[in-house]
Amino acid sequence: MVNLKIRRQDGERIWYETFQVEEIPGMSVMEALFYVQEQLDGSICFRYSCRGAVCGSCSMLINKVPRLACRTQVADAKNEMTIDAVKMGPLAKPIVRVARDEILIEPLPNLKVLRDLIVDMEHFYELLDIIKPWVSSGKDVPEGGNLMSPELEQKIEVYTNCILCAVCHGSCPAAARDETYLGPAVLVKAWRFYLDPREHEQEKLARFEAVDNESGVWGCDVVFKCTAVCPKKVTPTQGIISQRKQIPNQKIKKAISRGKKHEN
Amino acid sequence: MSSDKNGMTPLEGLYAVGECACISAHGANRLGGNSLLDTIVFGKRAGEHAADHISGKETPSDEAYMGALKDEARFISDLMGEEGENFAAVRDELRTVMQQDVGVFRDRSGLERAVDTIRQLIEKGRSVRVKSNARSFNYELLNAIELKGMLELGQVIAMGALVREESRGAHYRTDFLESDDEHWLKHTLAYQTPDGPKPEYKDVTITNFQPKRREY
Repeated sequence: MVNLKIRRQDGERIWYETFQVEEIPGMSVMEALFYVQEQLDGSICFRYSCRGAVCGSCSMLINKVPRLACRTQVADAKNEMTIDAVKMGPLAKPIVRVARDEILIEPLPNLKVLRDLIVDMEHFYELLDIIKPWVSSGKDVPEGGNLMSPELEQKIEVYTNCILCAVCHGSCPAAARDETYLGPAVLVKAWRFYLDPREHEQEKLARFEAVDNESGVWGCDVVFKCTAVCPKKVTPTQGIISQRKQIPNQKIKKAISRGKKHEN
Repeated sequence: MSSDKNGMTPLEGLYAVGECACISAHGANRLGGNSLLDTIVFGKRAGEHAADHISGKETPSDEAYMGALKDEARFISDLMGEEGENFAAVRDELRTVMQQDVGVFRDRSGLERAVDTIRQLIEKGRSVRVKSNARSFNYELLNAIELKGMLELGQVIAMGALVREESRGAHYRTDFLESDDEHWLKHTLAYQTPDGPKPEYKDVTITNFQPKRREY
């Protein structure tokens, strides 16, 4: 037996409710939530789709750690007594839990709760749209296609594995205090398109301008929480740091070329 | 759903593309990773065709939809209630029979048992009631509605597999191990009628690749 302590919300009302779930071997937190929804209380709601860490729908806060319910095992989570500071980054405060055989489930932080464990993803998607997350050179593909070396493909793939689950956004202290902060997923996406040889230079520069501010790469606390919680092993912090290095170079290049024009 | 190359189904104005559609681009089963053709190519074709199809046509008034909306509202309110079957109980039974008798290995006795069991489950499914009256994200209601579709689809899958006395693609009959092109080189389509699903067949479009025995 395992207890699921779930944060409920309906309109303005917020309360915690504990459900007793019959545990079976290999049970994920998502399956435990299905048990609650199907056997105990049909009104409880949470998002899900693929059940296999591909779609990124079931992001939630499990024992205070943002993660995917489908990838979290009940057996692992039910007796987690402390939050592993190593996993959560050096600045994470360990949280000591007293109840055994209990899993605390809450909605993903930093986004508005719509009901129970369902958050409004709209804000996250709006932030994503700011950096135009697509390759702009769709119309002028050279004969034979745009080729990319396997080495570069592998370098970019680390970032394209992102499933936009927003788990990183829920872990981010900068996103917690600043609604305009683009967040780890969006910022690393900007870096991914900078690396892409198919993308036009002017679009890359436009993306740099969009992230060259306090709401962008300079707002990051560099505490690696996003990197620690990412279910697909994307490294947003690395992408943010790379842009912090690259952006000044671009500015210098731009200034030099402007200076040259001036001389002419 | 039977779709032509523009995604249009036999019901004019209704388009189907992707996994729900039978455009006949793939053989007896679409292999994993090949969905791009349906999404990128036929999705675009259907979108363009639909846009052309409605351009110049008058938009029907809201009243024209009211009948259908009222039917839907009645269907949902009839599903609500404290006393009745739990959708999950019926779904679990359907899941078991589909897994055991309509799964990877199929034969006549198993499929006959499945057709019979599903018929009973459809009856049982009529007494499913939804307790939660949440107005948003009501998954219990969503699941109850989906169950109705799952039962109907399970029924036509089992019936189609029972009649198809051959093996082809993912359809593997342990009592009919070979493909039978003479009788069965065709798609099975099922139409809902007041007397239950009625099977019909559609020719397979064959262009460059002739069907052949799978030997790997």
